[in-house]
Amino acid sequence: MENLEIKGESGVYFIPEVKLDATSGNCEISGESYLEDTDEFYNNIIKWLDDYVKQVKKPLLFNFRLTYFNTSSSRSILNVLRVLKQYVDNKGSVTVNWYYPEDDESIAEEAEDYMKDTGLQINMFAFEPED
Amino acid sequence: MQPSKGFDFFEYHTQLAQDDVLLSYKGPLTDVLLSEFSQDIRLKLQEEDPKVGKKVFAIFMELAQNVLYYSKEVNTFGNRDRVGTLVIVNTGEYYQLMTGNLVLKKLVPELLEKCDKINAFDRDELREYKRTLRNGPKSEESKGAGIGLVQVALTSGNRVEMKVKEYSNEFAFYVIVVNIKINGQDDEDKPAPAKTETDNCEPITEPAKTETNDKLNQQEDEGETLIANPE
Repeated sequence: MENLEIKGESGVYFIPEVKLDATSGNCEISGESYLEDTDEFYNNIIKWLDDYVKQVKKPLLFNFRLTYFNTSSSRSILNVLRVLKQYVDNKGSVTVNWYYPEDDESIAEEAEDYMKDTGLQINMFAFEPED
Repeated sequence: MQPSKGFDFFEYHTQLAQDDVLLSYKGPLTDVLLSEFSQDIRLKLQEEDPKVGKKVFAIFMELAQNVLYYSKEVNTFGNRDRVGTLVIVNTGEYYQLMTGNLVLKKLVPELLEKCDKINAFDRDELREYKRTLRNGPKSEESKGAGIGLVQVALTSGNRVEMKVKEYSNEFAFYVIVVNIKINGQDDEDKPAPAKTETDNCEPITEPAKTETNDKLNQQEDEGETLIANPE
């Protein structure tokens, strides 16, 4: 199974950096998310996870390290987390780490709300954003 | 409609100079334009106070996207971009963000009701409401997540003020005002209730005349009015 890598970019839209590694099961999405077609972008990630769950069936580590995302992206992120929760429910091993900028409590709150919505355990860590 | 008092350039200039106007724009909106504005806001504000700058940026993005997706005023030429007004002012105590655009008059009660609901909630209730909306099915006409205004209230820590003026039988001019405290703290007590207002006096802005020709049919399911771009 192939890795999925999307290069982060900040232009008219803000494309987050995505690295999904099929060999190690380590996944990360970082940067800023404001997209022309939010559904299409996140559906690629969901499709990759579906394939991983069916073909690789190994543990998954998913790191979220987003510094900004719009409300449209927040809905799509919820869908990604639902897929991860489903894997947990089917005896998959999943670790979700949520890194939030230390001065941005609303991104921290998002993780709390996602836990309530999905029932998924999310580990939260503050980080000092560069820049 | 009452006769126009005419445009007083000096009054306009004085007003622009008095308050620290960071952005004032009326015209067609595009993704590219929003990107330019938002990057500009970031550069200007993040040096002074990154936390507040980010809030202003995030709120601007949600409000401007609302105008970009939902304004019922459309340019008749070019890419048929939607038209709206975006303003950011520094009042000393707050950054004040304002957006204005035309909406269907029949939607106004619903919009005001949603605004009153948001303003009546405390922070926990707002988060709960946002979760309910986000968990629900995406509304069909909503290109975004339909929770933008709730997020604006959460991010600003303030009320969302909504003002509506009648524009025609079919359309109303719809204004949203949000304040972001400059010292970075959320207001302990929310400021005086930002009552939603409606009245029937002259519209705040007066776009060029609405066309009611057969071009309306090109908008198929959306039923928008077409407003010629003022020369």
